[in-house]
Amino acid sequence: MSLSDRSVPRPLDPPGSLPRSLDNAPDGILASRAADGDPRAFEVLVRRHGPLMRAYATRMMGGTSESDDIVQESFIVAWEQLPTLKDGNSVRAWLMRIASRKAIDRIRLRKNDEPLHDWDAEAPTSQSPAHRVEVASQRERLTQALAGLTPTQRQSWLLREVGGHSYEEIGEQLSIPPSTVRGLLARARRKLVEEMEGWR
Amino acid sequence: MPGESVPQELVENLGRIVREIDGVTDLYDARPTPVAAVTSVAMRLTGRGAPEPVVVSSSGDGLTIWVSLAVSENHPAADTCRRVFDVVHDFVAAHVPEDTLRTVRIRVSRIG
Amino acid sequence: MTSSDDTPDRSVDRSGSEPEVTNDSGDLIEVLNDYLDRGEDPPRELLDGSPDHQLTLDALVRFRRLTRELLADDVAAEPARDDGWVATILANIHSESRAGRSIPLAHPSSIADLSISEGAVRGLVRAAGDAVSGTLIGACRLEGDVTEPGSPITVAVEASVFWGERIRATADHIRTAIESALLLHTELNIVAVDVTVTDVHLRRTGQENS
Repeated sequence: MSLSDRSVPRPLDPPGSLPRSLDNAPDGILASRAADGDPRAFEVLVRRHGPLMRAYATRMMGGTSESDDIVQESFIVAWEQLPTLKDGNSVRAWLMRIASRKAIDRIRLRKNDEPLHDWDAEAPTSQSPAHRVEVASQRERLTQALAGLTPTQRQSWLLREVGGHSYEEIGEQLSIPPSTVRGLLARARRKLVEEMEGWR
Repeated sequence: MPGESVPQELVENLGRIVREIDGVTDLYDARPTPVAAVTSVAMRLTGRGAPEPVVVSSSGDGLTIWVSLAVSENHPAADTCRRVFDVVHDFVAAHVPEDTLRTVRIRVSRIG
Repeated sequence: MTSSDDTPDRSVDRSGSEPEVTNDSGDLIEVLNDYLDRGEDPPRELLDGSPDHQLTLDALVRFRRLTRELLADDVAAEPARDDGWVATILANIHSESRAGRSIPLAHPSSIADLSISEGAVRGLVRAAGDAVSGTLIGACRLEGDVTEPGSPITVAVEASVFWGERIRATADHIRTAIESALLLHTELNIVAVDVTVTDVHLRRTGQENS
């Protein structure tokens, strides 16, 4: 069941009018309509931003197994909270923040795997130099470099650089002081840049 | 929510005849949202399928009927709503004593 | 930019750092990153201080671009999926939560309690406005006491208009279409339909909310 199937011409359509599909509507219009209760507008937002949220969740969790659940939970919360969103044009960043919170909730549940007090542990070197030389693209190298961070370093870095959160927000979400977040991010960033640039 | 004194056939038949009314395109669960969600889950858990969307509740002072509709934009929505009332009223009045019907609440929840 | 900003160490907060971060390259990355985060160019004096500084900046700029592209590349690399995930989300949202106020309809019977939900009327307004060529309706408000029959009601809508449409004429068409739809389907006493054109757009790829 595609969107276009359900928005086929209403009787009022003037012949030969431009296609009015919501698919091309700006985020602000879609967010306002969804806030007013239009599920079709919400569907366009889901299709437009869901894949990015899923990719973000996958990077946060270090795998895809929980990404779909995080995206689903995020959109269900988003539907309920859309009427409180002030500027519909910022809906993408707003959705990413909801996804951040949902991912962090799940990371907290993994307490046996990744106790938060391990945030400061020194990460193992990700790959041997011989292997690193073989990697094909920059993106793969970044992926490998990310794998070399501790989980908390990686999450902090994603929250900051991809999710756009402030140090205070990251500290709140990970239950650590903002000053600690800053140190964590400094180490993560330096390690990533150095691995990417082959300084070691 | 339906009281014991309301025959199940009446509830089922109401849903069927409302759907057949010209201009009615869909029926929604007429219970308030949280109640509807709980009822729906409970009925699925007990293997009774989806609940009937039309709600007939019986209390000390008589029957109350709740209906929530989607209507076509090809007919005036207010007229369709009144037509649904008339049909529901006449149908129920033919099955229960005249003075037991207290309120018939028909709500248009979607147009077109 | 004042000269005090040029002192690199000022913007480094070491409170949560281990000693290793205070080595030269770590410090420099943080200082440069702070400038980039603020959308500022690092001061010339800092970059000219050592050839390494410019190289570090270039590396950092490349890295930040790669970071921004990381998720977009992840999305592009994702194989096409069926629509199941969209359907699951849509099955779990409830339009009833946006039903709004109950707008009464007249009936001679004393046991009749007939109404149209505010959400249904908003949907009607959107559909009527969207049917005008080249427009999409955004937010829709019913101003006035819709629960009281005969109360004066003003409808306020926002509209996005495709580039190239004549805005004033289009707004008039939207107003007429909405008035007709409300007259046909409801018993509201509409005294005005206010149309605000909030943006002009082409297609999503050329989306500029001016």
